[in-house]
Amino acid sequence: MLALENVPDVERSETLSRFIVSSRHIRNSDETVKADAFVPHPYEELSVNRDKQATDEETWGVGYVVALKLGRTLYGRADALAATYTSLQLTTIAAPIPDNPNHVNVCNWPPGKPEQILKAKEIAEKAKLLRQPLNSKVSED
Amino acid sequence: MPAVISRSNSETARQLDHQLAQVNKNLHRSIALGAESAVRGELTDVYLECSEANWDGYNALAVDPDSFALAKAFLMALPLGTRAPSAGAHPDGQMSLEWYSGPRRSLTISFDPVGDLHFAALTGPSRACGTEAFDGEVPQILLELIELVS
Repeated sequence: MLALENVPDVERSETLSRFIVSSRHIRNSDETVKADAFVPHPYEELSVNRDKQATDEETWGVGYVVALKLGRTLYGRADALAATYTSLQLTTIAAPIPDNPNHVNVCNWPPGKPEQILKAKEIAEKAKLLRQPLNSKVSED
Repeated sequence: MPAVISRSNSETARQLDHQLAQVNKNLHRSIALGAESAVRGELTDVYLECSEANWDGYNALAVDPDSFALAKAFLMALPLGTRAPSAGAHPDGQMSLEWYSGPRRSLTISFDPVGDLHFAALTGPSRACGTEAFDGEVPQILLELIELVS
């Protein structure tokens, strides 16, 4: 994981993960992610997690902690390159928080809901769903 | 919200409209014919699952009952035989319906409690998005997009 006191800007080649704690965000038919998982409205930012200097286990660990705090099930994560976001005129801003220096905010979303859904659909098209590897629920929904 | 808007003036025509609306409603409840029937259980499940704030782990608002009602009315207004969508929710508390038939062939509609339908679609290399008011009839552009992605 990154050090809180030394967090670099996000590069286009980094992988950004969106943790999935709602089963409704996953299409079981072909193991893909719905656009619903990437719509930020009513917020101006979308929270994701960068993989820079983090092992895969550390990245999953962040997801488990998020789910555990919520008493929710971690179903998986949707991975997409930072370039996927920036190619849609979105910006990826490093936004470290005390218990997660790898936290990133995706900003510069258009104000209109239809335009946000459209961008979310483009991201979902390129995102790869990874099922959580423990194959066990952190807690029941 | 009525699924069928009457344009008739005479009493007989009004009764006929009423009977047609009832038949349409009953047909929609047939699993074989109606999208509303096929998705009604899922829509209710999503509503219940997302009825408390933070259901997505990212501070989502609870789903608005008026958005749920609008989504149900929309489903009832779809032509018989329309392929059933899947139901979901957005962090602003709006219900969503999605028609998906593969990569770059999908339509998502978000149901704004004020009565608006926010939509976005990927249809091959093309894309479309916008907002339409719902007055009891499914807007033509949405019917065309559903056809395109089904």
